[in-house]
Amino acid sequence: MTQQQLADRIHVTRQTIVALEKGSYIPSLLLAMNIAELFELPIEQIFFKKESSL
Amino acid sequence: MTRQTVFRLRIFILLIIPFFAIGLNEGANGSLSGKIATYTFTLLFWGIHLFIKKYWLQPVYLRPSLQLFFFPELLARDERERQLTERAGMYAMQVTTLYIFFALMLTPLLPMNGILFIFGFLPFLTGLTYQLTFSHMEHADETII
Repeated sequence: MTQQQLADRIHVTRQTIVALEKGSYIPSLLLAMNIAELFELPIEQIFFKKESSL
Repeated sequence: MTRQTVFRLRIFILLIIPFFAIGLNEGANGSLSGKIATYTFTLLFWGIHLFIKKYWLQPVYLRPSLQLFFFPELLARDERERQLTERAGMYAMQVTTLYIFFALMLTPLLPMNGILFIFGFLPFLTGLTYQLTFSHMEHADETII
């Protein structure tokens, strides 16, 4: 699945997908849930906290 | 109308305002009343724009092209772009506040025309800051992995 295809499926821009992959954008809970739903995975397997996050 | 077109239009119109003010001042031959009128006009124009937008104007009452001019945040295509728009607006307001602060500090040192010049360019500076901030943040996220 390309970035554009993923973006289209969850109704965001490709730039947002790029930002998510780079870790420069923290998604809203709703967007995170949509992505998890799409991949049929628990949210915590897709998004997780780095030690240096806080 | 694309977002870039709207931003360019906003910058263009904001750039026009100070020239109106300077022209009005020249038209009044530099008299004190002319200078005061110019000063008031410039501030009122910007102030009224903000007031109308905040307390009266609703996007639903406007034609689509005008909606985009007054509410560029409506062009945001998703939540990330809405955040970028809000942050750009916040930075622009911070720069404006600093600008006013320095302008007020310099007021005693400047002739009236200098004051007019400073306040005349205030809207333009704010708009430009907004545009540059948004473009910078947008560009930073454009990198393709």
